[in-house]
Amino acid sequence: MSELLAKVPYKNGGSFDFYDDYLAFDGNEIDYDIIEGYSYHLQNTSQSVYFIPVANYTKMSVSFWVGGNRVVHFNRSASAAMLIKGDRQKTVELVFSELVKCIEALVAPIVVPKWIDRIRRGESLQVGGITISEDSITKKTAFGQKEMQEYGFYRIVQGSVYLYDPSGKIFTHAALSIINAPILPYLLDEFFGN
Amino acid sequence: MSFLETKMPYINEDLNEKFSESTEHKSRTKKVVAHKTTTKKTKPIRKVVVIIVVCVVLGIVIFWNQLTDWYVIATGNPTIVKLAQEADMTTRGEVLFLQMDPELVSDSDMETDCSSNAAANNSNGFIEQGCYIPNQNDPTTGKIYLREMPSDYHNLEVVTAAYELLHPVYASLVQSGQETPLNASIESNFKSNEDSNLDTQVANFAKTEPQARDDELFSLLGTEYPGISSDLLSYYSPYFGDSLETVSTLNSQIFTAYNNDQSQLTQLQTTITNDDNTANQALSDANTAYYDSTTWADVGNQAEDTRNYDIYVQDFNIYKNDIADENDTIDQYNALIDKTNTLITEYTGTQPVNQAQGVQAQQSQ
Repeated sequence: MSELLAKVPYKNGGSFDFYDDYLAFDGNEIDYDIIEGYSYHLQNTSQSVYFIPVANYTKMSVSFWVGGNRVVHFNRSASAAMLIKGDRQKTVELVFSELVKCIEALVAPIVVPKWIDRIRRGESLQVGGITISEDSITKKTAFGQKEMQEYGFYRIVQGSVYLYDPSGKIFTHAALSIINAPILPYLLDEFFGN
Repeated sequence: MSFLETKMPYINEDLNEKFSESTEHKSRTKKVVAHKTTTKKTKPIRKVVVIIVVCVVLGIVIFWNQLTDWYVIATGNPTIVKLAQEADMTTRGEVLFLQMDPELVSDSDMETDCSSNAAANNSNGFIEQGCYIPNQNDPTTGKIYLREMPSDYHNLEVVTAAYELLHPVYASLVQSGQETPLNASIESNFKSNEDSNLDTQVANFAKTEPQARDDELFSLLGTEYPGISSDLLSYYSPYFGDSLETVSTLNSQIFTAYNNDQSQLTQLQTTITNDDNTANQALSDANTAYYDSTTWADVGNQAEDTRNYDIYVQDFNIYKNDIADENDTIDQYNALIDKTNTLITEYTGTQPVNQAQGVQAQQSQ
């Protein structure tokens, strides 16, 4: 019998349920051990007409890659007039932060070791234009692949992971909406951390 | 994992309060399994829906003109659509006609709606049955007004509808650069027609609308004069099904009915005159016989008196019968005059036209 560890309600009669061996939401059940990667993203945008703000939107998305081309998505969004943030938007933000907390606590411990093991066995992980192998970080450019000479540190800024060299110069970045961008910090620490 | 260890299961209090207890996963859950192939499979029902949507969109793109034509006809005023059909317009003609927003109006409204040329026509004795008011910036679009006619003259509405439709048709032909060959064809047909009625109408247009001579001739030749040349006919054929024969036939029917009445009136007038002459002769004969009868009585010739009196009675009876016949014919004549005057009144509406006078019945002496 699976044990319910955490629950994130997102609508009346609907919740994101994290059990000890699987998660369930929106009519889907996903075993943790088939998850190959995940991503999450929160976006706030506003719309203006002749520089006059008429509406603002809050959108969140969480995705789970279960192998091949198959990705299971979960999206919520809310909007309000002008620049005023409404209750529904605040709820979307709260749902997002709770989901991130649970995913990092329950899904990341499954996915990250899986990729560490694979990379150690010679595979590489591609996250957008970034490719990470056991001893190199490369990025796609207009002229082909470019390898990072020396890794410095990473920062998460406005929904993206930025990779810097030791001098603080940006090498590349990946939005957290890209599958497995959220696990980049774990992998960078594992393979290139001091 | 510290936040999970505080309470099992962990649940955010704010969200828990905001949303009621979930029962969703107990009732309907779908096990997500690891993907085995790299090919993304689309559900069959989704494929069918996509195919249907694509077919519908393609159909709309391909048949856009037919669909818009159908919509214009389907949403048109049924009375106006019926007029277009009675004039045997093609779908293209019908749609163009309906796009001109035709409206049936009363006599008095006609004088207002078609004020730009109604006055000129009336003063010249021509009857305004309809008009086309083009938009100032685009003469190929505008509005058609048709005079609402009594049921006896319904065919005239049909003819007028066709006549007015040919104005925007002419404008679009001119706009498309066909003015020179079109006008040459119109003038050639006008010259070969040799019709005094047409000459009179053209002379009238020369005074009222000198710049619209070929425009008006295009409508006149198309609706009132069958037997136009094939090159001119080709300009009408996209808009009228049966080469306009239907329209010109309807038009001639109206005037044939009027001419028949006129011919019948002439015959009746001749009969009245003949009856009158015969009656007068019989009366004269009766008077002569009566005079002879009294003369023979004065001289005591009973036999001649009686014979002439009998002649007198016989002639007087002939006279009375002739007068009765004449009065019957006068009644028929007056009835026909009434009918003709009613038709004239309905045809002319508010416009002043002299009416025919009836004949007074004879009194026997």
